[in-house]
Amino acid sequence: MVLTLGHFLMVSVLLLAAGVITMIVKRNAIGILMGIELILNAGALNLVAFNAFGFGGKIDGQIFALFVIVIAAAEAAVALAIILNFYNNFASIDVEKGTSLKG
Amino acid sequence: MGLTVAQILLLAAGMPLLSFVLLIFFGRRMGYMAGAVGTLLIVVTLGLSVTASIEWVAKAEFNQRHYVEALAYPWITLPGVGAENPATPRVLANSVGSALVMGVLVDSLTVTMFVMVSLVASVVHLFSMAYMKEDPRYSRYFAYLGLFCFSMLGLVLANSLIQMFVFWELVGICSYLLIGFWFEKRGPALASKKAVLVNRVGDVSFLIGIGILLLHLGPASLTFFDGQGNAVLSSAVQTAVHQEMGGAEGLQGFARLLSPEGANYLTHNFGATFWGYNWLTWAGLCIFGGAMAKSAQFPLHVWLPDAMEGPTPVSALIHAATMVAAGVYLVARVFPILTMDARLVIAIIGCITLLAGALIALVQTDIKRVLAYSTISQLGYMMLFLGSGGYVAGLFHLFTHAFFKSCLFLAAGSVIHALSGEQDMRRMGGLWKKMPITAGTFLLAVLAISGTPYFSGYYSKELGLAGVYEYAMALHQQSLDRHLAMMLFWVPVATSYLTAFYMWRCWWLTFGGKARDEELGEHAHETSLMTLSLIFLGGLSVVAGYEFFRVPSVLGKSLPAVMALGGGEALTLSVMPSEDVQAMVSQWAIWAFVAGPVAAIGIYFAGFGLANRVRRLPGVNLVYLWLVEGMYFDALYDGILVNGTKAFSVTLGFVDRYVVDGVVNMAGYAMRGVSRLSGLMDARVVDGAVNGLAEAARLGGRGVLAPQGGRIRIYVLGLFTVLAAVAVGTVVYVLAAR
Repeated sequence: MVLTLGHFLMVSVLLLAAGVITMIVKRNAIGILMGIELILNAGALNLVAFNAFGFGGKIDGQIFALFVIVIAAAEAAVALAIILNFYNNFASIDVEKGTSLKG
Repeated sequence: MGLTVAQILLLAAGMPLLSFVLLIFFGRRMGYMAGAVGTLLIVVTLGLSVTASIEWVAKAEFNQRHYVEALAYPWITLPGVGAENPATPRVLANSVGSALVMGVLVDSLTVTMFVMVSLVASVVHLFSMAYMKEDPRYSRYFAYLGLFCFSMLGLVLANSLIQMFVFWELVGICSYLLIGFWFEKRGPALASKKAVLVNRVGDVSFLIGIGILLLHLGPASLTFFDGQGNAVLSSAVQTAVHQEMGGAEGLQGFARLLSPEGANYLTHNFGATFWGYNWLTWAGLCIFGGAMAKSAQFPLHVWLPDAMEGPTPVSALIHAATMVAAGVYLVARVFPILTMDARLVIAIIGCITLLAGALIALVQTDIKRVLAYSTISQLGYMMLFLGSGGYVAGLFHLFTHAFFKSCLFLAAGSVIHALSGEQDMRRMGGLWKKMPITAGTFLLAVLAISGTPYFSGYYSKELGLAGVYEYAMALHQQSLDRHLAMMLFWVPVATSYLTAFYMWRCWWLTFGGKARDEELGEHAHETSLMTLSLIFLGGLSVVAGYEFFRVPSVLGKSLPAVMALGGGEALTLSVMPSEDVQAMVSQWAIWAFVAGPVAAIGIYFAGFGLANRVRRLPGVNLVYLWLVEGMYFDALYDGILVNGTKAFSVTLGFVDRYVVDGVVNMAGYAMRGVSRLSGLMDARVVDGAVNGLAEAARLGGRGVLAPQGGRIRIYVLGLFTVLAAVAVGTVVYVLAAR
């Protein structure tokens, strides 16, 4: 089996779909956070794959992927802080409980 | 049946996978049937392995020196990596090109390991049915055991280093899951984390080793054997070294790198070959680094004693008999490409490990920790045997050790079960009256591990020590310091006395003498499933070394001879010590089986009284403290690595808070001043106009408020539905435009 760009993109699509479904289906805020991480990783995989197959010799894609990883870490920190506050306000991390974003 | 041995073994490896899949999905509904299902499937594996081994030994080709049945298929082609590498053997290049290879490798070593692993696993499954009966996650436990057995058997079958690495990680994760099986408790949770972190060091080292070989040999050469049974990895190494050194000199150089006579080359060129850039040595050492973590070699042994937090049958299967032996197995698999320098390092590390493990085991009072340190020490023996060229002896010891050590652990499990969780030997004693079968089988295993003649451990240890003796003599005849070289022999000999002492101490403190805690042992009893398992393993730890099973000669068939390039004699890589040397070495080490029990029972005859008085003597007390704390390795790693990381983070946090935040705050203050000025302007002039607009917007907003329930998941659903619709629309549009 020769690995082509298509293989990588397929994995990436599966990751993205898994992430989106996780976000929609999970009521637990941490579950939603996991979904977001999957989506970010799908993006990072795309960057690396396009770089490897499109721009041999350069590492721009890898560098971008590194940024994605760093941003994912930062995002996790911020989101966990939000979840903590959410918990303080609603005594639960079930996102269905907090509906004050309306209006 | 018309199945080949490789097919039978694949089927055998599939059974525990089936058990894992069944139990993880349907296990909870099965209740106590789950254990029976897991046990049944692993017993099928055992049956298949034994069938395969009988067929293997009966094969006509077996009379040849070396015989392999292998399958090799191209798996992944890495774009641009080593495609045109000249070192890739031409035979293989034709069939798989420059792909990483996945396949099945069956030789005598594989078959032996299969029998050993499935045998111990079957007994442990049986034992666990009784031991884990009260556990709420009963079925999950057996699912994990199944996954582990599958991974371990897969590791043994793997035909390329990269495939082996995959299973290597799988057994690691199973070990993590099973150490932390009771994850609600703090101890197991921390221990499983520690096991993973320490193993990570080794895994990275293993991967670097694979990387070095990949760079120099190309992807296809990471295969052990091709479909016709030709050695690939070792011949690729040979070709590469030949090309680097060139001509006849290269041939000689290669011979010296790999053969026992190379000790000469090694010592005269120590500086040049080892510390200079010699990729082959470094590749060997990096791969050995992986084995160091998995097989708990000094200084990466710290996770194994903590791993005893897991259920005791797991300690017997994974942390005594099989997974920790995977490191030894790995070294044996890459044995043909280890240079003499790499082997010397392996021997030295093994030597340090076996001494350190035995010393610490002398003073432990937790029965499982004694056994854990004893395992570390025995693994050190195996590494020393392999490093000194005793390929057969190292693997033979691995084989016999699996039986007597899993017997010891299961017997300890039986004791712990009977005492409702108590592991401290200070509260045991006198249990032989209550648990005669456990005491008896434990004693058989103690006799085996302390090298008593006619017990299995005796045969493998004597064979290995004789090999080490010849190796040390060869080293000291060269320019290496005579006394230093002979240390490699005298340390293991002295340690075999320590081994006999601490094992007899363990037995006597648990089963012998008078009960130190009458209340605790009052209701101690044995259950029939456990005693059945124990009798089985106890018997095996007596007979596993007997000539009847022909284990050493079968194992010897698994080491390929390296053919010198351009004709010439084949080189023998392993040392098989002569009878004379064995007999002579035997005189030195054999008396341990008398000295051990005499000293141990003498000192501990009436409990801890005498030992406690000795350890309070000035000087001795410091050594005692040093040993009982495990030579302070945990404190050292905590101090340097854990606290170092923490201190680094605190520093970064400080910089963040005062430097970065300071700048940001300053900008904020400035902005606030400016805003105040413009705010005045805003309130008077702009607001009037804006308020009108806002009124309009509010009316509009009420209209779109309806779908906005504040439910974030609905938003995400809407968002991605629109996104998907746009994507589909675009594709349809583009297709239509064509």
